Amino acid sequence: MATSASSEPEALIQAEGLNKLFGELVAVDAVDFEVRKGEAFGFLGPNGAGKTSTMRMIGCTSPPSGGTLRVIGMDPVSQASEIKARIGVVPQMDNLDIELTVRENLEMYARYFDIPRDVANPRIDELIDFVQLQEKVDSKVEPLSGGMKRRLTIARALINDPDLLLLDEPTTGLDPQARHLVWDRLYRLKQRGVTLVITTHYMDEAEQLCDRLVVMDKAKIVTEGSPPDLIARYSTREVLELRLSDDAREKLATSADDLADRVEWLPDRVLLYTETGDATLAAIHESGIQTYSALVRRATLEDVFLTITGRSLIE
Amino acid sequence: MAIAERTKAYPRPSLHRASQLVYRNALAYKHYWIAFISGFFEPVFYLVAVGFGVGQFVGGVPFGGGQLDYASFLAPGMLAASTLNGALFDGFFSPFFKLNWMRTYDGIITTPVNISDIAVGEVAWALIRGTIYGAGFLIVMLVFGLIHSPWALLALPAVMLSSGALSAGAMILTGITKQISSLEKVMTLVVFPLFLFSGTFFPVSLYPGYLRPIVQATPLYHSASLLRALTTGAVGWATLWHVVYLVVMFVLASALAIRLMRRRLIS
Repeated sequence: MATSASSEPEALIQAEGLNKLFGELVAVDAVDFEVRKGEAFGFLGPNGAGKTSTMRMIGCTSPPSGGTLRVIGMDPVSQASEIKARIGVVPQMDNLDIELTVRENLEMYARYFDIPRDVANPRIDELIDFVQLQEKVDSKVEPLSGGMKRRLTIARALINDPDLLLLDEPTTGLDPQARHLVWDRLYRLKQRGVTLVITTHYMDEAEQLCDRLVVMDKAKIVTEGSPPDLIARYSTREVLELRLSDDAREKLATSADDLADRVEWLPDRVLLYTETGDATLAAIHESGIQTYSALVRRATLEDVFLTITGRSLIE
Repeated sequence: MAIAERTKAYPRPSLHRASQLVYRNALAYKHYWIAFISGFFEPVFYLVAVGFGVGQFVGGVPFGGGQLDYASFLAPGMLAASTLNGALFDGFFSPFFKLNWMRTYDGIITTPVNISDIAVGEVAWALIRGTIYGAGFLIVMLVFGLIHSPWALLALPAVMLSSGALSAGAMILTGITKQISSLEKVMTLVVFPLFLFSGTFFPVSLYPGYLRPIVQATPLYHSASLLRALTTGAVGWATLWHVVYLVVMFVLASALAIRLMRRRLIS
């Protein structure tokens, strides 16, 4: 590969055949992906799929077991400090410094990044405004709500004005208001040209934020694309959800395959994947099948995800 | 494999980055300044209660071929013990919670600050705090007339050495303990016996011959003996041996502690 020595590669992250082993356990199995400058890139997958391990390798806190990985054109093992100086990390579990106040947390991280005080101070003020913690600057971290802690963690990750922001499940455990506030801030960062790498198992989060994503399952990347791409590839445009009596279910079973591209029989519902839900529903009613309830909705990444990784619980 | 080789080339600690940890601890103590001050009183209380209280019934202690009043014997022992307490707190308890409960270090290593910087910073902080307490205690000794030699000018550097060696040793405990119950075990099985039996309260010459080498192998014995030699003026070649012991312990324990901490934080 002709990677020139220029300092600003178009691909901020390049992984080829990247592996992570913990003893016998294969946490990440030969994955290839590329994150381009300025995009929001997602790792989607169930718990234990290898998302966090991948993130930690990118963040230089976990050495790869094999394959190649370049982050901002550098090697995460031998140039860890140089890479870390240019990325921000929002970890899955908050690790704010609870012995310090909100402002002191940011001051300390500015010091860890060796940012001169005259640069750091105005930036801290700006970040506190950005994450709306003006009234809490002198509060200790402990009494803050979960949403506030997350926002402070995001502000902390931005203290070095990073080129690349790594967010590991940024909204897990937050209430809807707090999630939307975090999404809004992340969207603004994207507008400013910050490259975002996000892991999540929330489909709506991936659809809201990611330009492109990979789906990980059992340590491997199973598919890749933009959210609309993936929906087009693995689902139909719309999904018709029906609740039926047992009789109606039996009747439908004989004709369902002609009515929809794909049919999924769940214990409580039947899902019909179709281009136009209303037309399919009309056809069903015409054939005399009674429905308790019918819902036509747009197909989502959740449909894609469940199609690929299956419905059974992954343990 | 190339990656495995490169992993071995760990970044060396930088004093500048380590100093940020010292600053962080000072910042945290701004909120707990009473706790900071209280650390000074502990050895003073022991000195007053045991040295002057119990000491009245003791009379002299055989020391360096002559007799030494008990308070003069005990005071450098308590000074050494205070460096052990400080080392334990700043090198073990506090890092234990930062590592296992508050996850402070997990956050810090996402910045250019490395694990070796963290370990060096924590030991440096312990050393600074131990030195401040040591200086205060030496003034108390001077006021009570427990300093008998100009060699005592070297007692403060000796306190620094002792704090450094013991806190590096304490960082090893941080690297190997995960359960909170370990803290209690360490206190009961390691710290308390060290505190009581390392020639702090009574001279090692009282032990039967077969026990003496065990006591003389402990770090607190060397720390107490070194400080006692300096404050009483009974300095000889043996004093140098205590210095060598503590220097070697400082170097080896620091290296081992960094290695163990890395194993805990990088996987």
